[in-house]
Amino acid sequence: MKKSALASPSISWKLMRMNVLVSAIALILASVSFLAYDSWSFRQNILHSLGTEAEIIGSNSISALTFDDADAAGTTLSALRSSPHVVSALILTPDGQPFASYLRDSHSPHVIPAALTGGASIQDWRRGDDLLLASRIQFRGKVLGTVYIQSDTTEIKDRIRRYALIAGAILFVCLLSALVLTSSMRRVIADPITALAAVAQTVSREKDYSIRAGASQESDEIGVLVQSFNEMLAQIQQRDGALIESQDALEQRIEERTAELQSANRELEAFSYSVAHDLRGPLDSVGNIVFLVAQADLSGVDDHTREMLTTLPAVTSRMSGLIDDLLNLSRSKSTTLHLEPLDLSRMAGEIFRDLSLAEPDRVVQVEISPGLFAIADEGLARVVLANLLGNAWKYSAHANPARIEFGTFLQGKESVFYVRDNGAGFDPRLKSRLFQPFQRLHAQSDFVGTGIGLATVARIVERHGGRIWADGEIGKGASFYFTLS
Amino acid sequence: MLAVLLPSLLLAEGPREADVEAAYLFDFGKFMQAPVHASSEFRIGIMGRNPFGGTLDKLTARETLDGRPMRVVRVGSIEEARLCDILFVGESEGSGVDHIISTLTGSPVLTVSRIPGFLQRGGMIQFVVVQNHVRFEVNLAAAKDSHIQLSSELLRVAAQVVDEQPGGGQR
Repeated sequence: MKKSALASPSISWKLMRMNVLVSAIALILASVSFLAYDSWSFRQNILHSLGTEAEIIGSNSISALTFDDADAAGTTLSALRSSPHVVSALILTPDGQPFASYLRDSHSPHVIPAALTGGASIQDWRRGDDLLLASRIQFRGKVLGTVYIQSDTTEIKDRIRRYALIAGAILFVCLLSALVLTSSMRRVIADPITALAAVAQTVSREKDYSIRAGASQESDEIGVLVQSFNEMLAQIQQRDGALIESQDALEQRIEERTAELQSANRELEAFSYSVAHDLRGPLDSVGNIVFLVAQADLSGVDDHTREMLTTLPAVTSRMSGLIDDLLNLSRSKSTTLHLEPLDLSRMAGEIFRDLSLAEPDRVVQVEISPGLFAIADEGLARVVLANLLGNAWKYSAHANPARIEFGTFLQGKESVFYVRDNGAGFDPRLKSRLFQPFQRLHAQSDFVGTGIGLATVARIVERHGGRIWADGEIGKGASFYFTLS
Repeated sequence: MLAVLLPSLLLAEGPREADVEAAYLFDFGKFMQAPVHASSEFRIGIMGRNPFGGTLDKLTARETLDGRPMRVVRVGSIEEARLCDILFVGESEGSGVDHIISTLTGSPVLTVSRIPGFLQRGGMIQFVVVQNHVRFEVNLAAAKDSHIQLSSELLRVAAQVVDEQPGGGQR
């Protein structure tokens, strides 16, 4: 506000200065040129009247010169007393001798005659501030003498002084009227602009585009400016509103889509869980029947049928494993966490024991660091270890001797657990696909698997606020690292 | 102040007055107007003894006035005098002046002399010496009687202008 208060006098001041300057320049130019012309023409007038006087004196001095009557010439010259600006005069005979002279008063300078050049019968010179005019006296084709008249120019100076006085007075009046005009101009020009500037400042400071500048009654450029400014504000306001509206709509749409996706995801998970769960019952029955069939007397059955019957237990157990994995995956997301201190070393030992019971023929060097503790959900932690250790067990099947490590190290302040084997490893370029569901890096014929295990592990680790990563190389084993914060 | 018209006049003290008078005599023609003369010449006649020597002849040589060549003539008779434009009456004619003037009255001849009392006897211009300076006096009435008009310029520089009939009667 203070700034706009300062801006107002600045514009008025500029207007006033402009007014004064323009009128002063115009007046001074006009005065000077008028004065110059007037001085010149006045000087011409003086010279003209001096010439006339010289001619009269000349013709009145003819007889005096002819009959050598200096007194008569002096009398003629003394008639110049009626011209107050003539300071001195002189008549010369043709041989340059002074014949008669005139002085206005005792202070007046004597005429210092100059020769007329060429055949000129009249000529003038400047003598300091004075003007000197000479005229030849001729009678019947004979030159009888020359008359000189010297006049001061105080008349011109008086005139110049008067002019300067009048111009000064007019200039003063101009200045006054410029001041008066400025105040009215300020009302017409400066004030609307100042008001507009204040509104513009408010708008830019408060980002409030609903403010409008006061409409000008005039339909001049300032009125147009104010109107355009208001129109511009209206457009900005409109666009601003549209922008906010579309932003809101966009956010709402994103929320809707997210909600839709989440519900679809939940439905999908519920569906897969219920499918897995519902399949378990019949599968158990099939398993029982297969067990009974395996125990039954198969002597009456041909070899081909018997062979197919003996593969049934393995197939059903694989299906059972797949269903377990699916259920684990579902649970890994949905079950609530019961965090408690766990002895991971012991848990790993139990898992290895189960694995070696399932495959008693395999010889595997297992190395479990003692005293690996963590705070986690017991069920889910078991799923993590079962998967990682199971994978290590599975993929080291072709290594001789197979070797599996489970340990920990400190990285910064974090305990990082690792499971390392010397098995088949994996192509490091495919590392990013390791933890995605149903992605398998090995053929089913080489290593059986569902492609769900590592995805389940990753979800559980993430639910515990930890991270999981891996490195490895084909034929050189794999290492899996995870944290449980 | 001694102003002089011609440098040659400064040559000597003696002839100065006569020379000045000769020059004036020559110049009077320029300041007068008379009825048309029969003669195609502008004649300056000298009656009686000539005091100018050759000065006047030299001054008028090859000069013209209003297109008429100037000529200086010696006048022996009144009849000859009647043919002149300007007649200078020498001092030798002192006794005959009255006769000459009365005879010439009515004729356009400007009579000039240095004889004292010339104007009072009906002459038109008389040379006088004022403060060692040659001047002249004019009898305007006499000039008018002979229909000669003298320029006001001439009258302005005259030492004295009288306007009276011969015999002292005022007009």
